[in-house]
Amino acid sequence: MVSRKPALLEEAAAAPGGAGALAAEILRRVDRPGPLLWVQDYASRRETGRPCWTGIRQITGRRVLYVAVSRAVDVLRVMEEGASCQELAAVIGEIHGAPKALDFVATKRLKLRAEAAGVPVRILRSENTGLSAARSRWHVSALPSAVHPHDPAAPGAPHWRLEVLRSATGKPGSWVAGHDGIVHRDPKTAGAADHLPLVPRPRDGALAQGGRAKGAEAAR
Amino acid sequence: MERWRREAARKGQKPPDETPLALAREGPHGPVVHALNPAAHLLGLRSDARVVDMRALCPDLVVRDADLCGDAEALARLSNWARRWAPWSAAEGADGIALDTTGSDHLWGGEAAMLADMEARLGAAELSLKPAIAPTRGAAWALARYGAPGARICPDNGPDGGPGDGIKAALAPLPVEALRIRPETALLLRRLGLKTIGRLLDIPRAALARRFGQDGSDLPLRLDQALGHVHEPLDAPEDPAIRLARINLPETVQDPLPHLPELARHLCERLREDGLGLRRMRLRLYRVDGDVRSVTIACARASRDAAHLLRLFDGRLEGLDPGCGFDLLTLEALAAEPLEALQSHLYEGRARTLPLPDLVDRLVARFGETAISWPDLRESHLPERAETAAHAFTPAMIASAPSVQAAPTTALKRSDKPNHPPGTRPGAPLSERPLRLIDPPEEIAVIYALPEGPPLQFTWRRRPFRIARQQGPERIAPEWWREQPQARLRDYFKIETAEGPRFWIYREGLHHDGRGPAPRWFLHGIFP
Repeated sequence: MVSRKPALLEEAAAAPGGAGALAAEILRRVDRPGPLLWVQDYASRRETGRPCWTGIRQITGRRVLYVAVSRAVDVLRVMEEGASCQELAAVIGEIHGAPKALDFVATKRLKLRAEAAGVPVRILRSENTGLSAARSRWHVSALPSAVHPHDPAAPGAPHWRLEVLRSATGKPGSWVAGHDGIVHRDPKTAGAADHLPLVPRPRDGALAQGGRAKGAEAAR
Repeated sequence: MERWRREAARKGQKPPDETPLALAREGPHGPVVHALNPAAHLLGLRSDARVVDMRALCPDLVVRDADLCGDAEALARLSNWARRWAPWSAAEGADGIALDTTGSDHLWGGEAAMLADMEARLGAAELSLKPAIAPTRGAAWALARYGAPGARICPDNGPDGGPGDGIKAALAPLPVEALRIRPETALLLRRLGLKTIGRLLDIPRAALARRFGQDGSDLPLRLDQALGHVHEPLDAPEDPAIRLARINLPETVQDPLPHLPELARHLCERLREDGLGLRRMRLRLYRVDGDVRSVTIACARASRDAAHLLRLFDGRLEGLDPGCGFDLLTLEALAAEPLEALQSHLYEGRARTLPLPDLVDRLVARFGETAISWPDLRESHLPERAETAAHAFTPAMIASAPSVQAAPTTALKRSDKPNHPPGTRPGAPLSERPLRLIDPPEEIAVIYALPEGPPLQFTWRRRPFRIARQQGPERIAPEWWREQPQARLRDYFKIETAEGPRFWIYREGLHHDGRGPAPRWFLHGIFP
């Protein structure tokens, strides 16, 4: 999903049990310096858990400003405030279900704020319903992992399925993404760590075409 | 003692006046009596004696802890209040206030009238006092503590007209302790038979200085101070600066919001003159019917930007009940810090972007301090204990230091970065951790083949999951130095279900470990 103009407002939903994959996906795609603002409403804390900071520290060493509020409307308010703070690397907001507050007007406001300050804003949801002004819309679900190199009974490098349901810049598509868990310390390959190894989904006609093209673009 | 009685009466726990009561403080050999109520005085108890001795004298003595720090604060406040009589005042010792009344007694109609006014006003506040006026501070101290009730005012001139004779005449009948000398000096004087100041004054001063001035005794100095031979100025602390803006409204308002910008501007101007910035401020809204509503706001860094401070009140005034309306608004700086005047831009326009400390301020003002935190790690193997939350205003976290770009750890390699930027201490565990933590862990029903091994299938939130692959166990023992002896260990498994999601589950305890029934299983996290 590399585009000329970065999509500042994106919405992503996780399949049941895919919340961890979604968090990993979002975290690895943050490419600006600075701390993160992470805000959750009560329902998503209860249903999909809160971020595990030890696990997140294994992915990124960033500081995280964590805000736990109760209602979806408060999440949107915090995200709006955060979207106008240029020092933040990204604003991540989690909203469970499809509350009334999360409508087209609210997402449009968020998008304008994000574009004025240039801060990427990501909405993490549990379902993909309702209108939204987001430039792209994702769905993430966990797939069976790769074979573990040393232990055949153990889960290996994680794989997950990314589906772009809507995108203002590219075609919708579906990919299998994964991460080998290795951080590229060599400066020559350091840039590659930001990109996901996008694998075209096997035996998938039309979508795989787009996927291969995008994957090649992302790899560059 | 009076302060304690008032506090207790407010809490509704005040014992009846006839009960002997003592406030105790810590002494070198156990608690000692700090203060007594009149009933205890009547029973012959003494201050500064040990509590156990006094209990032996009076078995039904009620003993409470004295609040020495609170007393000192109250005394400082009272000494400020005492400036209503004379402009220079200071707290003296633990129980006295010294006032320099030079030139101000005539405003009250003479010294006697001033003393009467003091007694009336402090008596109305239910405080007992023994005021005295003397030409020197030492003499006033002696008269206030040891003087007879009738002799509270010490004239400057004695009966036969000599200057300073008045002091000598007033002090002569008092005991030597009234000279503010050390207890061991007083004891020595008593052993020598010199029990009153009058007897001491009969001795030539040179002889006294020869006997007592050598070994560091303060007797000659104190004597000179009391008699006025040595000047003893009063070191009055400065008035506490009041940084407060107020608006007195001619008519009551229901909505105070339109008046806030003016208040904030006034306060910020005052702070700018002093070179200070706000850390905490309180808005008080006085209702017509005598009730007060107040809102307190805190800032992550010192600020005197009126527009920013105003934004912090957004949404905080909605829940206030105006009743019949507000007629007085005050905005008070509770805590201020020095703040250099900074020019942020070449042009004085407002920046479009929001600085991080201001963002934190707004979030804290809107959602409270408990909702916002900077998560951090600490050394512990228990997943829920390995995480701490730094306060939202932690300076190291807010500071705009560049954070680490690359991930510091991999699955099996510990970070070997030599220096860590603020907020990124080492401590990420060696083994892989999930990205989502179910907090608290949720119990799952499992089917297993071996009691010690991983399960085959489990049910979480009424959904069955078949386990395809598993890794583990990772055994995390309870921290015996802080947990109950019955705490059980945990065996963590990373499992992958047939559909793909990966979870982190654990078994609490072992079969037949002697620490309770059959172990239970919990789901604790979700892996990517």
